[in-house]
Amino acid sequence: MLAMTATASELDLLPDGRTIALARERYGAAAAVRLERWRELVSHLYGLNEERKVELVNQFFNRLPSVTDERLWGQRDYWATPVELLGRNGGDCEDFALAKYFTLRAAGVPDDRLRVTYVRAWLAREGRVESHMVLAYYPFPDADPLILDNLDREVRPVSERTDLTPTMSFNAEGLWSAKQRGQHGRIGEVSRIGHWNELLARMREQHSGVLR
Amino acid sequence: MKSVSLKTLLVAMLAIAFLLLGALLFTANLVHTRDFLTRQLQNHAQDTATTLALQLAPAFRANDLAAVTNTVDALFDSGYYRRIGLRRPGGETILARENEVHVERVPGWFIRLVPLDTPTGRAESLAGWQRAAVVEVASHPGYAYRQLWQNTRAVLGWTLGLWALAALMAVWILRRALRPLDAMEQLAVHVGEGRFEQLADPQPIRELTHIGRALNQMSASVERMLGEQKKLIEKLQQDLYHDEHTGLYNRTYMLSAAEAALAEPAQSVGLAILRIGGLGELNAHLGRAGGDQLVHAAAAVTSVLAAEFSGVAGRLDGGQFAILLDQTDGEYLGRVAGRLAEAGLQVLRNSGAEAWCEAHVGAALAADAKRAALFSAADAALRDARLGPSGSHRLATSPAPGAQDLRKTLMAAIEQGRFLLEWQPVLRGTDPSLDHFEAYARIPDARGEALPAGAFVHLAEESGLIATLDELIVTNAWMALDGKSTPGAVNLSATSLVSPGFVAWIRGLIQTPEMLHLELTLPGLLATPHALEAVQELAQAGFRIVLDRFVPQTDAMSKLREIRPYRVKVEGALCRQAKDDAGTRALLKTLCDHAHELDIRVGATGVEREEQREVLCGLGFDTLQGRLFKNEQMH
Repeated sequence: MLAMTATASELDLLPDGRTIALARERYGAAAAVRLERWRELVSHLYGLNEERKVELVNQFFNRLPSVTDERLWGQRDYWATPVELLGRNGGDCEDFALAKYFTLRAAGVPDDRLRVTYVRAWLAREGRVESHMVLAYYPFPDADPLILDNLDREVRPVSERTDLTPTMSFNAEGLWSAKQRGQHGRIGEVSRIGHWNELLARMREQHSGVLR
Repeated sequence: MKSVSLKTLLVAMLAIAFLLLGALLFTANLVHTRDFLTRQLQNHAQDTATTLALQLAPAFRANDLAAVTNTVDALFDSGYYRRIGLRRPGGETILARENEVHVERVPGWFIRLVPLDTPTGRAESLAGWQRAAVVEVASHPGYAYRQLWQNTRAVLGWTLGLWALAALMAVWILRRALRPLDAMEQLAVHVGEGRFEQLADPQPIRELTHIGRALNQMSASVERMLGEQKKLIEKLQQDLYHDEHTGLYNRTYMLSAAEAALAEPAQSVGLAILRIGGLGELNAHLGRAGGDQLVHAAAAVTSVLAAEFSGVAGRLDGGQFAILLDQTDGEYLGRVAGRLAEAGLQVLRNSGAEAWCEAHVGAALAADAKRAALFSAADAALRDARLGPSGSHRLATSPAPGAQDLRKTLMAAIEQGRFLLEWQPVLRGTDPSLDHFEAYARIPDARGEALPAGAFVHLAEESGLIATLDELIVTNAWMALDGKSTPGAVNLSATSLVSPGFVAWIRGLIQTPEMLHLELTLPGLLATPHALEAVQELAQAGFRIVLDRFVPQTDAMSKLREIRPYRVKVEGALCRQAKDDAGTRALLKTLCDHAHELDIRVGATGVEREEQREVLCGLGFDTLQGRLFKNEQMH
């Protein structure tokens, strides 16, 4: 499976010196500092328990502002890599969920305990339901998961998140094929070049010092 | 190693190259199509798993397993899936549906040969935030297999069709391009046969054009060289044996020819001498030009008459012309002498020389005599004739039987098949071993003496019996040769060759034609319409054609190349001269070389002495015959 093999390389996603230097050139000094911090965070996470890892990662990314893809990238739906999220200093819900997913995977959290989940979110202030994406952490298989959401600064158990209704959850493999279906929606569409592959490809490039 | 034509080799190479290319394209197409179908199966399975997981979520939340089962069955019964399974995240199976893989209209060997992966699509179904089940879906490969099989068959058909088309086109183009090779082969063969042709220029392929030009050059060079050789032979012959004023044979040749003819056993030789007397008077009155004119006119009529009576015309000296006839008799010679005297008189009249000149003819017949005796007998007859008026002729007394007796004897021999064949051995020049026998026919007459062929051949020709006679001779000779390993030669008349059915008859009779050599004379062939065609037909059938009594004069040399006989037998008169005359030796040597270049053997006749044999062998003669070698008799 291409998606499965790709997940192995995504663990080694942390930017090296060259990538940081490039990011400084491209996005400015602040971006380089954010990437440095991210690298420090991941190395700091080793040895901590998983709940602490989840808390710190959520905290690290939730400091970034939420911005729509259209404003940031000029596209309706752009899946940014963690480097891009940190470099541009912002992203939408998918970018946050994915950045947290990859960071936790890099910090040694097993794939089985993480699910990127499509949810319906009730926005009380605006009085409407919106399609949203969060990262769910399952300490053990039948447990109620902890939710990492960019709209909520804190990690909370689902029991405290009555505003969210889950629709579908994916690990790395499923995420790819769901996205495929979401984008093209037709049986028989065979192109594997989708957001997921693009994302992985960009992550690999950025790891070896290439920035768009 | 078995030899292969260039054409076959090129066609085979191209066909293999096209086949490999076709196989490559075909395999590439097959692999590509299979990958495409595998990806489709993968996507189909994954899409179904995702959709089914979403659809099942409410049923799992309500813990309604019946609804879950219904939804799965409804999907599964469409037949597009090999397997749909639901299991708890812990691994415990909730339900599983599985179809046997049964692929219709696709041969089993194809399925075994081209395996298709049936990948599984996976998705998780949620009950609230809890993962309720893992949905696993594998698509049925049947449709993909059928698609792959149809595609493979179609592509295979096209590939093979185009391959065959390409191979056919290659054959066609090669055949056109290499056609000149056949023409070149033909040219080389023809040059070997002494036929010099030129190829068309240029050829469709540049290298072939170069080779073609080289071959043309070679053909032209060989033709020029052989032409020069031929001219040399003709010049030698002309200088040695021809009278320079009239072009007739000279005295030397006539004496030699008479000697050769007399050397043949039991052969009657006739000599008629025309004397134009008073040439000195004529020169005194009309000048040298008048005398020369008369001599030329007399030479011309002598030549014409000689041709008519199958004799040899020559100029003995000043006003004396002669016709030499072999195989003749008194009656025939008498006719020749009469006609010659008449013609001489006519020449005098036409040139207005009657007042000063007169024409007389004396003739003599001899057998087993010295040539001097023949010439003095003819001279005596001429002296006798000169006693009479201009235009008289005299014949020395004839020992031969009268024409009426001869005719009776011939008819009787034909009716009763009474022939005697005398076999003369013909030896090889290089080592004195036997090459073949030549048959000489004899007819026993009323007195029990054997008459030679010369005595009755012209009679048979005049009475239209020659074909019958020749058939009898061939039949007898063939019977005598039966069971022997040595070939035999028989003399045939050109008239027989063109008589209806003769060629077919002889081809039917002789099953091993290389055992029978057919001897003919060139003047006879040239005088008989269609005889040359009959000769070609017999040569193609495998008979060995021999030109007898060959004299290398202009016309004869050209005909040699055209007829291309198996062997030429050089006139005995020339062979005799070889020992004493350096010019004749040069002539015969060149003739032998020329003939050998045309792949023609050369035979010497009239060999009487050992020294003669040695000289002739040294000149390059392939076979020798004559009195030196003892005859054999077979009945």
